[in-house]
Amino acid sequence: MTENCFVQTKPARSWPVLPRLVLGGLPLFLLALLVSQANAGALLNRTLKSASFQTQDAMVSAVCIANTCTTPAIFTPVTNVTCPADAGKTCTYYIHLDSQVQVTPQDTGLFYLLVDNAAPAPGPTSTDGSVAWLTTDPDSNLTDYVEIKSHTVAATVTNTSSNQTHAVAVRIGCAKTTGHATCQARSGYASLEVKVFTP
Amino acid sequence: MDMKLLSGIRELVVRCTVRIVAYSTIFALVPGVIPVPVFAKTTTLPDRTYNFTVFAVQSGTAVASCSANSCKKSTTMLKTGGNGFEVFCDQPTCTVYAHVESDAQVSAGDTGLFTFVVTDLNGQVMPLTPGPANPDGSVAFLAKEPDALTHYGASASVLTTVPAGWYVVTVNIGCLDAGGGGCSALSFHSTLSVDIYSN
Repeated sequence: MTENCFVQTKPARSWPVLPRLVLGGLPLFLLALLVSQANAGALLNRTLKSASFQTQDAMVSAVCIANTCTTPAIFTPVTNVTCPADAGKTCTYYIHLDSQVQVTPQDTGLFYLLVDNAAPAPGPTSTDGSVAWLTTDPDSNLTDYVEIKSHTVAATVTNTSSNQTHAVAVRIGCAKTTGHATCQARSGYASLEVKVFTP
Repeated sequence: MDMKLLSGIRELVVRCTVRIVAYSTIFALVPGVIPVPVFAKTTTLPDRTYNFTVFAVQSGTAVASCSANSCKKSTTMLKTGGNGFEVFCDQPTCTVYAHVESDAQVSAGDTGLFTFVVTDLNGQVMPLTPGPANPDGSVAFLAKEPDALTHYGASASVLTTVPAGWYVVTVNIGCLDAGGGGCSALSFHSTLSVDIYSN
């Protein structure tokens, strides 16, 4: 067995059968039921057409005095990506973000991924396009703490005209924890990959 | 003007100046962690045509460690190339998108680094433009986290443009001691994908 200083394993416990069923089996069953009802979108048989990229080598900050806030997009200008299809046809955008991030202690750091100023569908994101990347970490700060976080979404876009472009925007934001007057989040080095598939 | 008000303004100016100097110093003293906060600099590479992808997978342990104060050490984690698996560009120029996913960890309070290196077959190191990365190709995946052992998994991406030719892409894992007494970084399972696009 390989041992290392980074992993601590706990000894296995022996549980009686009935409590094990009650404590383990039932919740697992309920969890499986919930998962089966989750909105798991499958997008099959897509053909890769092109890709667009953006990189960011300086910091973008969000300062929040409301409960949540966002900044102008991390990548400026916002990238406009062509869907190479006729009006009425669709494309699938695969959007992948890697970014160094920081957030004030105990607060929540957020990415916002937006396509044509709306949350991507099927996403996954919250209805406002947000995804949390860190929350209630007392060690995070805006000085020397750094972590890379990433997120990927899929977005189906429909053209209203032939070869239409669709705006892909990525923002960084934060949400205050209870009792905080403000929060702040920042991104450092960041790269954005937008792959275009048809349909 | 009211002397009390003047005194208050002067105190505010001094406090802000001290804070700015302190923050600037911290960023200057922590090279390779996160870029100095300046105006955002976005690079956009639109509408690239996909050519092919090369993968490299590592399922053994890659460890980098050193024991001196403020030491820095790295070791190869992933590498394309050999046996005809080099990255090649058969266009006047190509866009190379390198993406690494790893269950990387770093010792508590120190800085964990991925370093991307693209070399031609003569060993000439190609500049990472636009990156984003530090001049030596490094990107911090975690820094100054006292609970670093609870942090598994990191990803990072860089872009570069190369002329026609054959190339090897290497990703090193490394650490930079920040807390004194040395540092270590390691990964168990890692994947590198290198997508090559025509410009």
